Amino acid sequence: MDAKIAEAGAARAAEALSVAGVTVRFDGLAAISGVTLSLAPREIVGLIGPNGAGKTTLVNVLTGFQRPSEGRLEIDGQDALGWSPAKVRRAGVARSFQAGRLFGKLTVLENAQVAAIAAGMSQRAARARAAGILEQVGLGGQLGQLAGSLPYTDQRRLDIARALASGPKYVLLDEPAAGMSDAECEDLMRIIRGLPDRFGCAVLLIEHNMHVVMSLSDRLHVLDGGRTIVTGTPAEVQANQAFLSAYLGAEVAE
Amino acid sequence: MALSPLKGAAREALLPAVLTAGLGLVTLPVWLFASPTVETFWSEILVRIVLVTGFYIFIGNSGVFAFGHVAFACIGGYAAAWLSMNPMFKQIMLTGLPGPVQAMQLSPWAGVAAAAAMAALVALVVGAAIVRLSDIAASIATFAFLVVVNRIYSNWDSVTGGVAPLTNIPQFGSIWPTFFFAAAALCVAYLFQRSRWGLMLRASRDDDVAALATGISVYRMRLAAFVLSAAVMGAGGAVYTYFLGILTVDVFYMGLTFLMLVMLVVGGAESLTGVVAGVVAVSTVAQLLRMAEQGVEIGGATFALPLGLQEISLGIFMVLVLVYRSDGITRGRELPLPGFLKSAADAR
Repeated sequence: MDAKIAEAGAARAAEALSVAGVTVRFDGLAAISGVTLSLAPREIVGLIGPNGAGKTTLVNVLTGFQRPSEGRLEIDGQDALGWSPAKVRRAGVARSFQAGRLFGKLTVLENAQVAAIAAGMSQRAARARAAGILEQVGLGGQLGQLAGSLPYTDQRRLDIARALASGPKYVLLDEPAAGMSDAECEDLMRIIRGLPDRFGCAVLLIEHNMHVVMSLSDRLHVLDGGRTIVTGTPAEVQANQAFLSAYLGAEVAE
Repeated sequence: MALSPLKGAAREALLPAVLTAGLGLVTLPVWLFASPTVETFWSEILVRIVLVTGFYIFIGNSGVFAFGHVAFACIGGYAAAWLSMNPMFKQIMLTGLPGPVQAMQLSPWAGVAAAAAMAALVALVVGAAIVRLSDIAASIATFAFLVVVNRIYSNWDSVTGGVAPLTNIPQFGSIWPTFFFAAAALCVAYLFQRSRWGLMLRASRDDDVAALATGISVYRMRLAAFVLSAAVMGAGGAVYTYFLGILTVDVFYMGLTFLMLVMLVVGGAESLTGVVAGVVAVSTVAQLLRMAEQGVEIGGATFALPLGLQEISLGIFMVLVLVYRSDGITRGRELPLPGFLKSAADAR
């Protein structure tokens, strides 16, 4: 166990998905400014903040969809600034989308399979891997159904399965619990909690549901108005005055 | 459920096999019993299946509406004429052709292959630029390409004979080669659609942002489909030329483009079954209207529809299909497969 921790510690120095001093400006207006964040292998980091705090912009930077105006993006020590989203994905960074964005006219199986194929697997191996992952997220019974016809919560789970299918090292989940009932949330939490061990990947979890994000995250990163206001363990963050006033201010006052 | 590779392969080949068998079942009695008029009608359907399949390979899988693919049929048609026309006539009419090409007379089979290769080559160069464009810009660019090709082939007199028809092109002499090429086109399209590239391209058709996020090089997949579909269009243009035995440049222009797109939309642009259904349905309706225009004799009196009603009616037919079945008459689905094979496939 000690050896494992030491190994993880050594790996942390070189291996990480990280941004440093990232600023994104749209027409001079900064969506995020000077944000530094790193995601080490197999850890779960919660990224939280009020609407408009710049969470999705940060995810877009981390996945190559948004080139930052300033700052650095590194994947396992490689400078990844200016890489295309497809290249970032092949380097091991996968994401899910707030809006689902499934391949609606492909089947559930094909949605996950195509991600594994894009990662270079043969059709047969991709199909087997996709089926295995879908089984684990609870979609094993709907492999032949068209993705567009799935109920909303199943679409979220398929989106996660698709992100996992290429065997990513880092997975960025953009509000996976949005719109889910409590029971569905519990089910989703069980899946996300298992990701580091079952799939060997780190998770950056963007989530508004405090219960979900507090109980899953090893560390939290709080954004407000495009700036980092607090980082730390869930306990540290919950005790932090800046977090309480800026993010949960209204609720605490009650 | 475990599935033997043989059974899996059989299922993979089932759809093109069923479609081909269906076409073959019509072609056989046509070949044995039918009048020349009916044989011509059916041959034309088979040629159109090649061409619409060419359209489908790009449009159906990428979701980008390309209006200019008939240009590749034009390129293929002329390649066929250059290679197979009677050399004597080439020396008189097409003085600009290189000497060796003037002297040769290839068989129609070799001509179709060469036409496909030439169209693919042009598509590789043109497509490298066109498929970079976003959806509507790409559509317009392919249309512009069609106009450019038509203008060049209409005016390059020493090589294409301009707008004058080219004659003395050998014909297949039977309906079977045409049938073969229709079947081959369907198989090529099916293999592509089932391939890893086809799957990645269809994913990008549904959501190109998610496709990029999934690591798919949308550009490369689109270019591959563009080149392959152009090759099939080139082959189709050559088959059309060998079927007619005569070639004029305006055969491969707006009229044909409109007809092909109507067939694709009516059948359902997102399935191969839709290609066949659309070609057969629209060709049949068009033929009935043409006959009605020529007049029907009932009890000594001839009743005829006014000329031009054929095009108007085809337009109305397309509107009706779009209003009531916007996914086409197949609703974008393939033929239902027999239950036992399908459930086995789902279980894999």
